[in-house]
Amino acid sequence: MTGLTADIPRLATARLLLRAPERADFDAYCAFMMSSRSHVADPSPRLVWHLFATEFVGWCLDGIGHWIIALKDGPAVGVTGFSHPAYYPEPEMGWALYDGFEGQGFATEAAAAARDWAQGRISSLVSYTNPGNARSIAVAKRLGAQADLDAPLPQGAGAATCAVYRHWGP
Amino acid sequence: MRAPPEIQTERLVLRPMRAEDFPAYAAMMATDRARFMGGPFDERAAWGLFCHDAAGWSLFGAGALMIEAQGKIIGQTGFNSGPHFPEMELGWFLYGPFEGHGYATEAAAAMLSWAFEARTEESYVSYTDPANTASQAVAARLGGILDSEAPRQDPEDVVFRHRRPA
Repeated sequence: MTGLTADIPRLATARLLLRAPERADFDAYCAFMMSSRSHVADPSPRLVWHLFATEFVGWCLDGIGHWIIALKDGPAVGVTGFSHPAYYPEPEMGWALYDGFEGQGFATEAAAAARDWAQGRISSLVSYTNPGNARSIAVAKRLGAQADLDAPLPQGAGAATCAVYRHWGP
Repeated sequence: MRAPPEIQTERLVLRPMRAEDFPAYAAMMATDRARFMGGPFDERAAWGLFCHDAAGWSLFGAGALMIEAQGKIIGQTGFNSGPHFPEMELGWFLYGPFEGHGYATEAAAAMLSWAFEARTEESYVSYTDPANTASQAVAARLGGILDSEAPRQDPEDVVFRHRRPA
């Protein structure tokens, strides 16, 4: 499906490239999602493949989706971008860094570029985090998002498992 | 010890700080705009920062200058030194309504030219928050080159290095 990748914009930041996924990106993605750092319950390679597909299908359906984050001229270090599956009440921005690439500001830098790109393209944007995930919450705050206690939650989620940080809208 | 200079650019005047600059400075430091500098800050913390900015001139021979455009204070640029800075840092900020006109780049470029003329360092750095894409764009327009090896206080900072022109 090379026609799909052509529709995914390429963004450059000071240190990073946000680019379309390739099949070869799945292995590193899967290794991360199978690890405890991903907070995915009962992960299996089959479930992770579905997550992988979900990250990127938004480009086809809505013109928004996820990118692979890569070091300039270097390996993939994570993913960031937008999801609006049927079970989310509004578009959501997420980020994840693979093992060994945390602590250098890469998530914040990549998500800031994605967020800037989405300005004017999406009328509302939130980030869902686990209330105990202090590092992810720190990224949301550095991006300027504010806790939104009144925001609708994803289907099946409750306040104990999902904290909402709002970037803008609705 | 060095008296702060006054610097003219095409559209701007960079001039020494005055006590009456503080209310607008403190008002900005109290907002979310200050988050890339470690804020928001209460008034007492803002006064500490304000004094740090001014004291650079007497303690290190390079500190901050206020930026004026058409008689209005629009922001600040200058050098940071001292125990919290591994090396001399060039910084800048604008008050909200004055963004988007290239003022930060124009002011910081003038500050940098002044330093290469008046001082002997071979380079200066700028520390930017990874989310601060606007400041990173200014650093790049100044000719700053990414320096991933530079010592930094916050390991997440994106560091640009400004080298003395050959």
